[in-house]
Amino acid sequence: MKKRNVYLLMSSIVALSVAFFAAIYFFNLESKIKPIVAKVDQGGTPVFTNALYGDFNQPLSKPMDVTKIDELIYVSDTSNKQVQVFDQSGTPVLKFGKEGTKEGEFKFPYGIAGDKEGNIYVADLYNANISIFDSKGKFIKYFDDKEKALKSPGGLRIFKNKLYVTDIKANKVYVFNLDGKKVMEIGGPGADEGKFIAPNAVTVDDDDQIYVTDSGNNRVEIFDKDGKFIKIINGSEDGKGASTFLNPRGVAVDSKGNVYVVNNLAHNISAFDKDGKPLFELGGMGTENDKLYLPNGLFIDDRDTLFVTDTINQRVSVFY
Amino acid sequence: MSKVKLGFSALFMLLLLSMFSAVAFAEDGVPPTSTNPGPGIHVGDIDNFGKQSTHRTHGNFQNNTNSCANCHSTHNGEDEMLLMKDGEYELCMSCHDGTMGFYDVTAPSGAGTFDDSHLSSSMHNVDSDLTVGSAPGKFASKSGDTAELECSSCHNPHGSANDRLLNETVAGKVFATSSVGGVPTPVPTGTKTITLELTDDPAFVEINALTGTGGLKITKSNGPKGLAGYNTVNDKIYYSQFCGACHDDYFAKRNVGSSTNPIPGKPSTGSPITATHTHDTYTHTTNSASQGRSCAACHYAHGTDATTMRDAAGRTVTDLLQLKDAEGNALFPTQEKAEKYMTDISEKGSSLKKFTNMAVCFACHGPNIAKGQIDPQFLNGSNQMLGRQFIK
Ligand code: HEC
Ligand code: HEC
Ligand code: HEC
Ligand code: HEC
Ligand code: HEC
Ligand code: HEC
Repeated sequence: MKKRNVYLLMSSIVALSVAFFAAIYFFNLESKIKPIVAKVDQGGTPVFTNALYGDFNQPLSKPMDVTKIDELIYVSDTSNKQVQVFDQSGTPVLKFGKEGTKEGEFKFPYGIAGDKEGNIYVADLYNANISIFDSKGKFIKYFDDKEKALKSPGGLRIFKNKLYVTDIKANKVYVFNLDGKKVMEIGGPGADEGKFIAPNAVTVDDDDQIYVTDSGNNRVEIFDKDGKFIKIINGSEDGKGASTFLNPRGVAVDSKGNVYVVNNLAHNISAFDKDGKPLFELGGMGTENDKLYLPNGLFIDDRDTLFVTDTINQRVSVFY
Repeated sequence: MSKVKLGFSALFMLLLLSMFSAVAFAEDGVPPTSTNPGPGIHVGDIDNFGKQSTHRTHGNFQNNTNSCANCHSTHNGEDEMLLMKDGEYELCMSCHDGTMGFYDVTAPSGAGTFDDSHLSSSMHNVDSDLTVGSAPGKFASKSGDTAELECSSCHNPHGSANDRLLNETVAGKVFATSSVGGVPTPVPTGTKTITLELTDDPAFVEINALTGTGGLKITKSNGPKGLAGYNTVNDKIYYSQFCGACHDDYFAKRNVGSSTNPIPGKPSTGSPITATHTHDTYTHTTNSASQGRSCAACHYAHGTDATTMRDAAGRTVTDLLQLKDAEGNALFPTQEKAEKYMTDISEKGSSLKKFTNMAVCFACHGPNIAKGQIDPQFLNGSNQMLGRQFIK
C-alpha cells in the first residue's frame, strides 16, 4: 500500500471514531448505547451502566428514594430538602422544594412517585404529609388524606391509580384512591406474620400483590391484593429461616416477576425469583462505579432498568 | 511525509484505542453474581473478631444471626475489622434518622436534638471532623484527644453497662471514678455508673406491649436518676464526670478552677477573667448531686434549639402555642413567633442548653433577685418559679 493511502485510511478511521464518540457525547447517547451493549448479554444479571450525580453546585445529599415518570428521573434529595430531576443521561434538568413546613417545602422528603398525569407525589416523613407537584415542580396541593391517617409517611408508590404508602411510626401500609379515600390498611406493629416494625418501602407487582419492606424485622412481606399475608422473603431458603437482610429498604419487582431488595447495611441489592429463591446480588460496599454505600431507595422502570439511591456516594446508580 | 506526523497519528490512534478498551473494561466490571455473591458481605459471624457474642445491644437487631454484619462487613483480604471507616455518622443515621420510627436523634428527646434547622441550634458536631481535644474546657492531653468526635465517642454500639449504651471509656480513659481511701479511683470495668430515669415511651405503647420482638422496649429519658450508684456516688455526678472526661475544667467546685490548669483568667490564678472558662465566672460547683449542679441540669447531651429549650416558667414552644388570652385568642399564634420568643441571644450561642439564655439561673434565683416582681402565675405555692421543677 502506498504511504499516502495508509495515511488516508488512518485519518479516516480517526475522523470516524471522533465523530462516533462526539455523537455519543453530544447527543447524550451513552445511556442508550450501554443498554444495547448489555442487552447482548442475556445472562439476566443487570450491570452498572451509569450514575446520576446532582447539580454540580449542589450534589445530592442523602438521596432516599427515586422514581421515573415519563422519561425523567425524580430523586428525593433528602438532606437538601428538595427534589432533583434528571434526564436519562444524568443531566440535572430541574429541582424544587426547600426546607420548611409550608406548601412546597420539605423536612424529610422520602417516598416519591408519579401519577398518570405526570404529577409528582412526595412523602415527607417529618412533616407527615404528601405533597403533589406538577411536572414543572410547581406545588399543586397536599394529598387529601381524608381520615388524617398519615403520621410518618415513608415509602410511596402509585399503581393503577392507587396510592400505596408506608407509615413508619404507625407500622402500617395504607392504600388510598387518588382522591384521598382510604381503601385498605395492612399491618400494625409487631414481628408476627403480617405485622411490621418500621416499614420503609412498598411496591406492587403485575398480579397486584403488595410487597412491603419490613425494615425493623429484616424482611419483605408479600400480601395479596386484598391485603392478606402470603409469605416472607428474607434471604433464607423458604423465608422461614434466619434473615440475611441487613436493614432492608427499597423494594421493586421487574417484568419477569423477580424481586429486588436493597440491603442498606450490606450495601447491596439482593434479587429473588418469583418464589423467593435467591438469584444474585448487585453492588457491595465501595465507592467505585458498580458499588454502593448505604443504598436506600429502589425503582425499576418498564424496561427493567434499576435505579438505586446511593446515599454516601451521593448518586443514583443505574443498573441494566 | 514526516515521521513526526506519523508518530502523531499513531499516538492519536492509541488514544482512541485506549478509550475503546476503557469502555470495554468498564463493561467487564460486572457486579457479583449468584456464583460470586457480593464480596465483603454476609459476615454475620462473631468469630471474625474472635469473640462469642453475648451482646444484645441493639435489641432485636443484634439477635439475628447477622447482628455484627448489621454494621460490619469484611472484604476478602482487606481490613478485617470495620468497613464503615468514614461513614460512622451516616451508619448510625441510617437508622436514627426517623426511618426506624423510634430513637430519631433529629427529633427532640431527653438527649436534646441533632436538628439544626430551627433557631438557636447548637450541638456536638459529630459530622464535622472535629477532634475530641477541641472540647471547650479541656486541658489534659489524653490519648483519645486526636480522635474524631463521633457518635462512638460517647456511645458503644456493642453494648455497655451504662444506660443508652454510654461508653465506659471516654477520650481514652475510664471516666467514672469514686473515692477509695480518699483517692479518686476508676470504677471496675463493667460497672454501671450512668443510670437514667427511663420510662416506657407512650408514643410507642403498641411496640412496648409486644412480645416476640427480642425484648424491644422504647423508652424516654429524663436525665440522670439522681440516686446513689456504685460506691455511693450519685449517678448525677457520674453523668457530670462523663461530660467532664472531655470538658475537664467544667467538672469542678465553684471558683477553684483547676489547679492543674491555672491559665490566666481563672479565679485560681487571681488574675481577671478573660478566658473562655465560662463556668468559673458565675455558676456553681458541678461535681455535686444537688439540684442544678449536674451538667444534665443545664445541658442536653446531643444538642438544642428553640424547640427543645424552656423558659424560666418551664414553658416550651409547644406549650406557648397552646396559650390563650382572656378572649381566647392565641398569645403565640404562630410557630415563628413562639420560636422567636425562645431565641437564645447569647454571644456563644445556645451551648446545648435546656433553658434559653440564662433562664435556668432565673428559674432558681428569680424569686430572690426580683422579689415581688414576678407574675404569680409563674410561681408555685412555695414561691418558686414553675420552671424549677424541670431542673435536674
Ligand atoms: C440497623 C439499624 C441501626 C443502626 C445502624 C444503629 N442503630 Fe442504634 N438502635 C437501633 C434500634 C432498633 C434501637 C432500639 C433497640 C435497642 O435498644 O437495641 C437502637 C437504640 C439505640 C440507642 C438507645 C439504646 C438504649 O438502650 O436505650 C442508642 C444510644 C443507639 N441506638 C446508638 C447508636 C449508634 C451510636 C449507632 C452507630 C454506631 C447506631 N445506634 C446504629 C437501630 C440501629
Ligand atoms: C450498631 C452498629 C454496630 C454493630 C451492630 C456492631 N458494631 Fe462493632 N463497631 C461499630 C462501630 C461504629 C465501631 C467503631 C467505633 C468503636 O470503636 O467503638 C465498631 C468497632 C468494632 C470493633 C473494633 C473496636 C473495638 O471496640 O474493639 C470490633 C472488634 C467490633 N466492632 C466487633 C463487633 C462485633 C463482634 C459485633 C457483633 C456482636 C459488632 N461489632 C456489631 C458498630 C457496630
Ligand atoms: C457528647 C456525647 C454524645 C455524642 C457525641 C452522641 N451521644 Fe447519643 N447520647 C448521649 C447521652 C449522654 C445520652 C443520654 C441523654 C439523657 O438521656 O440524658 C444520649 C442518648 C442517645 C439516644 C437516646 C435518645 C432518646 O430518645 O432518649 C440515642 C438514640 C443516641 N444517643 C444516639 C446517638 C447517635 C446516633 C449519635 C451520633 C449521631 C450520638 N448519639 C452522639 C451522648 C452522646
Ligand atoms: C468525647 C468527648 C466529649 C464528651 C464526652 C462531651 N463533650 Fe461536649 N464537646 C466536645 C467537643 C469536641 C466539643 C466542641 C466541638 C463542638 O462544639 O461540636 C464540645 C462542645 C460542647 C459544648 C459547646 C457547644 C457549642 O455550641 O459551643 C457544650 C455546651 C458541651 N460540649 C456540653 C457537653 C455536655 C453537657 C456533655 C455531657 C453530656 C458533653 N459535652 C460531653 C466533646 C465532648
Ligand atoms: C447551672 C447551669 C449549668 C451547669 C450545671 C453546667 N453548665 Fe455548662 N453552661 C451553662 C450556661 C448558662 C452556658 C452558656 C454560657 C454562655 O453563654 O456564656 C454554659 C456553657 C457551657 C459550655 C460552652 C462553653 C464555651 O466556652 O463555649 C460547655 C462546654 C459547658 N457549658 C459544659 C458543661 C459541663 C461539662 C458541665 C458539667 C460538668 C456543665 N456545663 C454544667 C450552664 C451550666
Ligand atoms: C437549682 C437552683 C439554682 C440554679 C439553676 C442556679 N443557682 Fe445560683 N445559687 C443557688 C443557690 C441555692 C445558691 C446559694 C447557695 C450556694 O452558694 O450554692 C446560689 C448562689 C449563686 C450565686 C452566689 C454565689 C456566691 O458566691 O454566694 C451566684 C452568683 C449564682 N448562684 C449564679 C447563678 C447562675 C449564673 C446560674 C445559671 C448559670 C445559677 N446560679 C443557677 C441555686 C441555683
